[in-house]
Amino acid sequence: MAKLPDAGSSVPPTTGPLASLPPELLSVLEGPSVHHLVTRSATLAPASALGFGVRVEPGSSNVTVFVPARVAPFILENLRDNGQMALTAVNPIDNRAVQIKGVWLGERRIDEDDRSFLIRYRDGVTAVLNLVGVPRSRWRQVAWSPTLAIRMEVREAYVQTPGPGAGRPCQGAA
Amino acid sequence: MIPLESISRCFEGVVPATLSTCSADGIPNISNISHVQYVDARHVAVSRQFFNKTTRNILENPQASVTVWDPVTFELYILTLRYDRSETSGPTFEHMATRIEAIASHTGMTGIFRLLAADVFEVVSIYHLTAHLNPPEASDELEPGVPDMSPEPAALPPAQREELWVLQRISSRMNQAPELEALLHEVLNSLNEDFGFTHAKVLLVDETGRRLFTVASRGYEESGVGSEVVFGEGLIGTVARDRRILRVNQMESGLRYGRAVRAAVVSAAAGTPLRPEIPLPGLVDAQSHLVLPLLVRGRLVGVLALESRNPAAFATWHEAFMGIVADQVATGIERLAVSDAEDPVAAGRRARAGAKEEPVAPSPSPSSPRRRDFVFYQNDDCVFVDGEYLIRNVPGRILWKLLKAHQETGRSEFTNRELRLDPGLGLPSLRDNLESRLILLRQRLAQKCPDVRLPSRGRGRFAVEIDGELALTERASA
Repeated sequence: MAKLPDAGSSVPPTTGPLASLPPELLSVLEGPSVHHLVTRSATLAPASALGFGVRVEPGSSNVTVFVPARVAPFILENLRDNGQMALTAVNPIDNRAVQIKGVWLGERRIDEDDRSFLIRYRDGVTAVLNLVGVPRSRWRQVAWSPTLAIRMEVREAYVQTPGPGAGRPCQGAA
Repeated sequence: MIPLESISRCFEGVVPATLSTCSADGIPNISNISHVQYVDARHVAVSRQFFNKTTRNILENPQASVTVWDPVTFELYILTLRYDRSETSGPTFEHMATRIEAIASHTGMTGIFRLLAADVFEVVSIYHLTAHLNPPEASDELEPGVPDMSPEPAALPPAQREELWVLQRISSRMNQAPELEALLHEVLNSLNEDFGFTHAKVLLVDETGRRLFTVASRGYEESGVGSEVVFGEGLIGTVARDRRILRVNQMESGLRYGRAVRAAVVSAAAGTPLRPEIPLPGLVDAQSHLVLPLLVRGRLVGVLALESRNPAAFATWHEAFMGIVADQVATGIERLAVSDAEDPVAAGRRARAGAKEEPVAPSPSPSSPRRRDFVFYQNDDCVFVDGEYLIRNVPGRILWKLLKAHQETGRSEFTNRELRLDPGLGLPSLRDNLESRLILLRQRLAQKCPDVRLPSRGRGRFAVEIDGELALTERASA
């Protein structure tokens, strides 16, 4: 097993930002998918958290992912240490999935635009999960507010739909 | 630490679980996983179907984390893990492989979508996360059409379920069954009335030893009696091949995963022929399956298959509990499949009872007499009635022998023993399952040709009753 780097390392990014996000990524990323964000600690221990939808910033490869404010402290501690993050989006109906990796650009409070987006996302994902057997009443229990917006510069994008092609870079992301 | 056993229902969640890892150079990675396997109180396993970034990461850095959803409460459990080992054989691997191969077979992906290894992780800690949830709403009514996922009796602790009582019930009912058909009837009734399993079927191994046929079912619109499953195909065929209990909850979730793989393979290798999907026998909207091999001294005699629309109908403990039931059913089938000739006690009892026996009245005819055209195809021992498939193989040969004897000699009483002694029927000399063939034949006749009946005249004896006129034709092939 390879020796692990010393604790506390903030690894400089080895790749630059994508010019734009690959089109095959967008429908899964921005659609009514289930999102999970992962960060890692100074000792390389991964930690994941639920995401409440992703918005792609127009004209760039930056995205904003929304997370429940109550779980944000765990994430922010890691992000402030090293800034490394990855995010997966999976469509619960057909298991199409993507993963993006990149670096933290900062966090912000949500605005009115975000609030409208979150309502649309909540309704969309509730309907989709209902189709696969999750009662609406359960998903409604999720605390959609307060929510924190975390910005991310995307540097890598991968197809993650189960199968032999899982892990290949998305078209246009190489 | 929260006991791992207590959260086992979260390991097959509707919402995919995630596995997070991190490379040695500090880049985190997250992937969706369909199933987390409980190994023991300190370990879980994750299936590896493809070598990927997750695999590379855990080999570089053993730290990992799995997030699972409770399908009932929607609470989250975050398991902090340390990669321990990869297994490519042994009970954990075999258990996971059976499940994956069943789903692969079901989605026509046999050989492509398979388990490479079971990656076993030590569970370092478990964090129970509820911060993302509001307190439960006062009114939590389910909407129409939404499966009820609130805790069912199946989720109650064993102490409240009176397992001993239901075991005693099924055991007693089986014990009183005088013949195989009655035994199967009692088993399915008890599963429904005592256990609450409303959809069940029993399949027995046919003469080829590589195929099962449905001999009895309960809860379905169509009985499906006579339908066949080849060993290795689908959930039932996989259980028959591997002789291992298979429990699949959240079936749709597993199938969606399998179908996603299939779609990816089809898209990656256009033109590569894949086997067609095998239609799931039984409930079209089944969410949970528990399939149990029926074994006697390690020999497979059949399969007991239960299914439910409840995604959480079968818990882990049901595997052991229903395993006991399956053993009893297998023993009962074996006991009653033995011929009277080989069972002197039963034969003697019948002889004594026969002295006082009232003559048995013929069964009433269910419909008015008419002419039925039977055709026997010699090339595949297949019998058609009025142009419609009826039965084939051993039961087909038996039927043909009986119909011909009845037509040529007027005989209407037969014994199992004479069938066993007829080399033309091709029954194996040992464990011929003649009783089960006769059950199958009776049920197929009841469905397709009620003018011909084979009512039992006591153990080891039966009659041929025919209403109307029969035309028998023998052809070399179709």
